[in-house]
Amino acid sequence: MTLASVVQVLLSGLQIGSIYALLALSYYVIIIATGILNFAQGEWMMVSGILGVTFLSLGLPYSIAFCGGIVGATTLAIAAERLVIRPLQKRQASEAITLLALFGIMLVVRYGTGAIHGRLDEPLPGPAGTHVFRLGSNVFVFSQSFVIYGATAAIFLSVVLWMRLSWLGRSLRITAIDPLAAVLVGVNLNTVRMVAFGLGGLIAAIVAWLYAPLFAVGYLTGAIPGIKGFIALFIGGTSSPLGPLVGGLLLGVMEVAAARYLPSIYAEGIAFALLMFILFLRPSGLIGGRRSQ
Amino acid sequence: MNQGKVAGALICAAALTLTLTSAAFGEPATGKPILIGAHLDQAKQASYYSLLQKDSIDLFVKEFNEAGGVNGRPVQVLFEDDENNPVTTAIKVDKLASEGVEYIVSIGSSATGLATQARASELKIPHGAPANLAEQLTTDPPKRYYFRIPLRGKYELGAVAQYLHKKYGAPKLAVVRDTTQTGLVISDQWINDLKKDGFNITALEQVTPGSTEASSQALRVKDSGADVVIVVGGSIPDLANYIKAHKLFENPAPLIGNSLFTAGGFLKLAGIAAEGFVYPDAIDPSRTEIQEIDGKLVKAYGDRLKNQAVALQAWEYMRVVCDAIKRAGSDDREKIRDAMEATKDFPIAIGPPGMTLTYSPTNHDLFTSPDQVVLREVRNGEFGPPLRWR
Repeated sequence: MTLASVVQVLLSGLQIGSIYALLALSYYVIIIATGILNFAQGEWMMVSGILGVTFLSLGLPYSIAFCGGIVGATTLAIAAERLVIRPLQKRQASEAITLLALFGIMLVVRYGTGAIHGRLDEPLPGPAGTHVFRLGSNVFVFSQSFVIYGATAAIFLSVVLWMRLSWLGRSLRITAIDPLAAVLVGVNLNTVRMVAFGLGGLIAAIVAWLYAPLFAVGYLTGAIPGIKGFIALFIGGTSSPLGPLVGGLLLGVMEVAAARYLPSIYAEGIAFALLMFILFLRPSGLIGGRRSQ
Repeated sequence: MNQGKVAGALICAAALTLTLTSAAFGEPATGKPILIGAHLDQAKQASYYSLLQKDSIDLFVKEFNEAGGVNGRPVQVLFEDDENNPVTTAIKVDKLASEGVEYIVSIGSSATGLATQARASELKIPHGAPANLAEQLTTDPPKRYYFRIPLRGKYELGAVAQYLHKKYGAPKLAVVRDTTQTGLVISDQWINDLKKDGFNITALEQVTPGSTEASSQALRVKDSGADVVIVVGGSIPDLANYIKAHKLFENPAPLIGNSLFTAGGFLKLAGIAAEGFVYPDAIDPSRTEIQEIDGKLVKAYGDRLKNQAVALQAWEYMRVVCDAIKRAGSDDREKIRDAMEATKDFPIAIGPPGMTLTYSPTNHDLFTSPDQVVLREVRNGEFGPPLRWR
């Protein structure tokens, strides 16, 4: 175990861990406001990327493709809440039915996109290009990696500040503590739910532009990161935004470290092993507390 | 002279000319269609190569029917989605059988191809695959109703092994794979056969699916001291990330892959890191027959069908099947099966120049030797010409 390998593991682990952390955050904002685990978060990420490559292939400028992808995916997330989840909530559908509906949305979006756009994975250029920075012969980091680190910090900080300082953010927090009390103080639960789904969709949509430049974008792109984001959420806990951040970064670093220092065939299972271990020790997650769900 | 007789003679001459002319170019096929069934993965992990084959088959059938079909009868292909699931595949084979298909073509994954082989054999329907590579599909003796033309896994690997011995002597190998079913099945087979051939495998690495880079795996491979790295699997983005990390860490070990790298966006995803990547292929792109078929596919579908080996194989396979149905002179499944088995010295565009297809009661494969496998290299960002190494 050399210093260079530890540095590379940290750089690579924080890179993929940031992606997991952001997706975990997108689950978090929805689950704390609504109690709903939205399986489709990975698909909003995928749709944003697919829209991006489509707009770029039509010759639109990068900035337009970027905005178009994010707006399109976020709109779809809000539409899912308005057209599927809200009617179910009005009919007081059980949690199981709601979860099934979300699972259905995930499948429809995933395979529908594949049918419309095609099945091939495509590259999506990143905002920082493809420059590689070397630190010696055994450590490298991509220019896109710095974008990922920076964007992750900015998004988490923004969400935390928004939840503390804005009326809508505080409404979300109040709803998470006690929905009835929130209604009594004038919070519109429908609005909160829509905002939560929209915010979750927005975060997932931004993730596409961080992740896809280093991987690819295709109709299955959201599947694995979506699951890992979900795992990261429960590793970190749902009592504060710090939970997704810690869970995601820890998961990313452990995954890369496992691939580096153990036979890499174990790396894939490390996510689930870590989840089980953490939940055994702390069922509410690493940062779990009184309000965790 | 009687003007009526002159007019009548002219009309007859014109009619004869038209008849002879249309016979030379072929009247479009009419009449009761000959049904061929095909199962494919429409939406899941194998769809990216399934759908390429479907497009090729659609175009071939259109052209074939316009040229007269089978003795004037059109061919109609009934497609069913196997959902990349062997259980679903068996159900779809039953459905196709009940619809009266005379032949079934497997253009999904090898796993579903195996399911079709089991079920269609029970139903006594001739069937086969243009591009399923799994070695388990070939048995000794061959399954009576099964015929295929793709590279056999053992010959693909055999050619790679010959190349390794010839170029590198007795190199230490590392194997890098993805965790798709295809990746695991192919890599397990390759590892077993490479070990039997006397190669020393110093590292086996798996790329974590969906990861943004594969630095850990690339460093472990570099540390293993392997002289050559074998990259096998079906998840192109994951393996492209390995290849990029391999080059970034300046690992001088050359990279050799399996034939699936030609489908999917490998060149776009790996970029300049793909330069020098060697892989086995069923296609020699310098053959004029291949260029002709490729030209038709590109004209109809654009560049996404360009140089796609699976699409070219699907075209040629349909040509073989339709020829057999013609020779059978009947809709009868047994007669079609017998005609397939009687295929002899059939010129085929797959493989090296001069390749012909001959089936027999003891052989239902096109490829019978690793010497028939083409090895190609990525050059200047393109899937390059065959290597002349033998």
